[in-house]
Amino acid sequence: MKISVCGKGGSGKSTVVTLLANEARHKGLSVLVVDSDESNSGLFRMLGFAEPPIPLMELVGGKKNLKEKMGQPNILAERQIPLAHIPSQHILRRNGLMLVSIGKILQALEGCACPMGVLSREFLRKLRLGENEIAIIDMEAGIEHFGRGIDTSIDAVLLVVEPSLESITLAERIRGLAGGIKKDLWAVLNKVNSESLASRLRNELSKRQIDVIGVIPNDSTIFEACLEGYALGQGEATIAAEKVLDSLLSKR
Amino acid sequence: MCLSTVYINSGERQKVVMQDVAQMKANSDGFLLIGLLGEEKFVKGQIKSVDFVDKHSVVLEKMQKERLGS
Repeated sequence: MKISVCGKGGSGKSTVVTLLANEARHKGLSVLVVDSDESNSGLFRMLGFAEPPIPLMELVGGKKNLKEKMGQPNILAERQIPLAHIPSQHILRRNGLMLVSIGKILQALEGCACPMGVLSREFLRKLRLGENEIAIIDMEAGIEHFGRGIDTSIDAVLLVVEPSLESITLAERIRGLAGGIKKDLWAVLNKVNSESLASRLRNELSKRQIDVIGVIPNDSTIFEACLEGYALGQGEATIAAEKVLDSLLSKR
Repeated sequence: MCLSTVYINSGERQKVVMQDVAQMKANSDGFLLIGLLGEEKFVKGQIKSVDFVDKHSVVLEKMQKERLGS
């Protein structure tokens, strides 16, 4: 199963990705996290890795050396990419938790992220998962990834919605875009600490034909981990994330 | 998307030659196309049109002399 985690910038996509990945590990699944956000750089820390992986973009030379290295063979040119074929320097592994990164914008004036979009789309299209494996994709904020076709090979979209009108209206747009490519979509509410607020948000999303499958509270352990750059630990949010994961897995 | 799809006119229809083309190198009778993920393909023809904004496409057609001779 390939799950794309989408939403407004700052809504907590990377946090939700990390919580779901940790819970999937606890259930004995092998989890590949795909960092498909070319801006944010801290996902590896949240997942408890000391360093980020070398981006897959480097397989084709990175943006700087793209033209020089483009003609050389690499796994991205293969018809299928099982997890075992990903070169070790490009994938971090720890107890069944794995992380790959598509690429990051590193310098001013380096140009657009189009090559990363293509690479992300092709990697996800060719990625072959076994019975006990799932992939959770940390998408870039907003909706451009739909325009680039990155979501075409995923099985479902998980929308992260925070308590703001901006987040809700973007959720509606994402529902339309995901529907346009016939993808299942569910929402998870994030940073929501009261049942009354959750109820208001559920109601607003229901008007927009979006089902909510979980509510993740503000959790002081997450706040502290994000502030200091620690791996996310156990907290209230962990229990909520387990329910979200169970719900997703039941829809396989 | 900045990466382009290269087509060649084939009768009334356009046929896709390669998608996600990152580089085109011209020689006397055609173009070497190089895709982002490493594939390469040579195609004979000349450029008919390039759309940088909407379709991100390059349309090739057979050379004039080739068509006259064929």
